[in-house]
Amino acid sequence: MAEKMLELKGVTLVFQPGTVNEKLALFELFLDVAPGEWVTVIGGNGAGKTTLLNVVSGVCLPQSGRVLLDGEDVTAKKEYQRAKDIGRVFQDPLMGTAPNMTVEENLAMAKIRGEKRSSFRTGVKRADSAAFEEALAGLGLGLETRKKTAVGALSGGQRQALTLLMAALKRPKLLLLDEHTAALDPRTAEKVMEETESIVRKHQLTTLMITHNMRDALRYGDRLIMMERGRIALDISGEEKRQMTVEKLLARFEQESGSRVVNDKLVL
Amino acid sequence: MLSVLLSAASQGLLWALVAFGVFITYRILDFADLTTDGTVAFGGATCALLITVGADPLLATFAATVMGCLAGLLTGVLATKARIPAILSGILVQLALYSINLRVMDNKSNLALLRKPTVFRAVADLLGVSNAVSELIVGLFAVVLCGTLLWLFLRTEKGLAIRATGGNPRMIRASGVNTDSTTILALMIANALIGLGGSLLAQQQGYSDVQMGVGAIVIGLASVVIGEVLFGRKSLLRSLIAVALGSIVYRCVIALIMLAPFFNNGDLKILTAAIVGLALWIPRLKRPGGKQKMLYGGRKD
Repeated sequence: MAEKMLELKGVTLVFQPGTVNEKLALFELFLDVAPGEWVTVIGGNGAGKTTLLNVVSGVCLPQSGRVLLDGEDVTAKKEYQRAKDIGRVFQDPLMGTAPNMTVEENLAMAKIRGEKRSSFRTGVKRADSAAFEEALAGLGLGLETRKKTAVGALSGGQRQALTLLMAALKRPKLLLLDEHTAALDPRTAEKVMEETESIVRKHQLTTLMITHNMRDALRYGDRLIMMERGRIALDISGEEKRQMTVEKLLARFEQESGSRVVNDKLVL
Repeated sequence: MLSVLLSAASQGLLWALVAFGVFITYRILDFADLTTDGTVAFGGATCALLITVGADPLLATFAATVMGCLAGLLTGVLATKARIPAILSGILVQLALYSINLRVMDNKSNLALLRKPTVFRAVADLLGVSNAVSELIVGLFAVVLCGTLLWLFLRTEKGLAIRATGGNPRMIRASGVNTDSTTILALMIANALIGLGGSLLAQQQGYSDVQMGVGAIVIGLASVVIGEVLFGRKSLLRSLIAVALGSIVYRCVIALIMLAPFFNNGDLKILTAAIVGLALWIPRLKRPGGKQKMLYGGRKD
């Protein structure tokens, strides 16, 4: 294992360059993440948080700079080529699962993430059945009895919890969470966050978690970065992070962005 | 009356192969593949050409299947690599196939198979049965074989990836699947089945016609929708059986309607369009305001 699980070296990404809609999303961004480190990412709308995750996962290719995953340069690799090392949960609970397929079929697809898929091996293997059931039972949502249910029939919270499980099922080198609790009701969001904590810690997953919720950003993870205009404006960890409060963070946030925060979603 | 229905049933079995193809593209892949019409005629033309030059009918049928597969490959490449919208990709290949089919049939609009060997005649001779019975046997054999293989394949790792490509391409890409490849593969399999259907249809009717595929996608769709309305789509297996039965029901309904003195052969297309329109409409009437989702299996939300 390399010393750094993830390295971004001077990554710059511009959307629609050379047009009136040109938008600088990431600007010469540097970031190192150690193996097993859990980084929470905050920042205003358009600060480049999701673009950062998209560059890491290969959805967007940067104009310049390099992306290294576990020491390997993956800058030019496409999303599906990086998938074996990256698990991802999106904000939209509909995004992470195939609705037309059953719970166990979805799990079976996640089990072989990034591997070559055979035209002859059965997708849902009997040998995995017990492990799937145990993992589903661990979520505490009663999904273990609904393995043959189409995922489209589940609630948003159930689908998101399942997506989380799928992202970690084949232990990824990197787990990317993009506001994965933002679309859930407060109780379900709490539950999914607890599940996140337990999965990340149990497998010591290197994690990048975007959140709009400053309290979550402080409560969870080992390190916190704040993004502003495509760069990292604040990077705290250890004691400094533990001493940080939502109020102080908010003050820094306003100072960085040069405006008052009116969106109380950030504070909650 | 009974003989009319029997002949309709064997027609339905052969068209069920086309319907399987439409099921793969339209339902599983969520890709309205208009190559279908061209592929039916392409399968028929290829098969007729080979039989008239003396090839074994079984070989000719196999060649037609391969040709269908290639048509699907072309549509898939246009849709994924060239990023041409799905419908347009299919239309382009369908249009191109019209010219190709004319070339294949030596610039004639049809090619007769009178007194030529066909798989139906071969089976009839082998088993000592009439042509009508042979058509039923061959049709049933082809549908059960293709349906079973399809069912088994769609449960494999690759099969799951194809189904997920239709259900949530973004998710399956994040799982490491190249969705361009799965899209192309699904189109190849679908059009192989459709080419096979076209070749058997040409052998059954005794000629191949450049127009024989017109409306094939709608006929396939009719079979899919009628099957699902009548026989349900609780599981993949159930859906496949429903599609095959739907194709037979569709043919029987058309055959019965055509018995009425008012209708003539030219009215077939409008009747087909009416049946598909109604079959797509009825499920909505049953669930007022309900959103009809392009799903098979499971509950609709």
